[in-house]
Amino acid sequence: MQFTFFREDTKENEQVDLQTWGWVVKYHDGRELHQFDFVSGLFHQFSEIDLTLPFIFQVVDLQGEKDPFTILYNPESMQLFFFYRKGILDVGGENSRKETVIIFGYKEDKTRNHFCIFPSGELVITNDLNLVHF
Amino acid sequence: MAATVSIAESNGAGETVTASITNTNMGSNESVNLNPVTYPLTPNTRSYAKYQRFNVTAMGGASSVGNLKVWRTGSLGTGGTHAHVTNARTTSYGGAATYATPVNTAITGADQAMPTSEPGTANLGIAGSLSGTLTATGYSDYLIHQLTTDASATAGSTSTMNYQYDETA
Repeated sequence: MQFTFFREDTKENEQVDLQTWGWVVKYHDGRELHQFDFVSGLFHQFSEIDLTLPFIFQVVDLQGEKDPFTILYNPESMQLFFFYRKGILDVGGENSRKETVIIFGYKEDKTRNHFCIFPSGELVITNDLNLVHF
Repeated sequence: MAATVSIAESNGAGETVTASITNTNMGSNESVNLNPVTYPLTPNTRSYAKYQRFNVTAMGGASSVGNLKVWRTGSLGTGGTHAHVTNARTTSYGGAATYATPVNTAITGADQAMPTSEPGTANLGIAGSLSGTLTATGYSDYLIHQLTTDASATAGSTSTMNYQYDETA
């Protein structure tokens, strides 16, 4: 299944494959923004989230098999982030593979709290991303 | 999110680019995806250098690709002294290297030991900067790397390369 992303600078649509996990934002006024919007078929970037407002931020198993991970976002004290760490590993070796870890969380004061979802679905929580390896 | 990223390698005079390598074997020949049995290193020589880049061929909804890290895993070989040298480094980065026809002699700036585990911060740049990002299709800086041996080297390297990046969607 593919979703459409319209890139403003190129004025072109890009097709984005559905992933296992995606984020959902639920603002307090009832509006929602879905990274993968199954109603419109659109893909949304993290930069489209209004980070000035408080909201519920969820990372959701898009197959619906696992419970979501939820952050109650407070813009006054938290800086939210979400990205993918990808490895092209052991190139040419017996264990050659590509892997992705989904990393999200928030920075509060000087601490970055990282929530890392591994391909197995395991969640690792750390304030030091250098401790997280494929 | 799902930028299409591969590791490209450049070879030859005037640069023939292979968009996606299948291995990063090094030996006594200047070619991509080489067979090290066909082109073994003679002790006390260097391999031909590899000039490789992260190659973003589609953004796929991503907003940026960056924080590039490279490292090796596995043994460099037995007997004598072996080294795997590179221009990749986390500090005092030398900027974007210029492509030159790969040689089996020392290359200025490619004199750092290749990390044997994931480095703590980026060690390969984009547009000459370790904090650089790609926001459209394109290439990273060149990763130059090369094996060296001394006269006592007996068995070759079984190490492999690892490439890592962060993608923001």
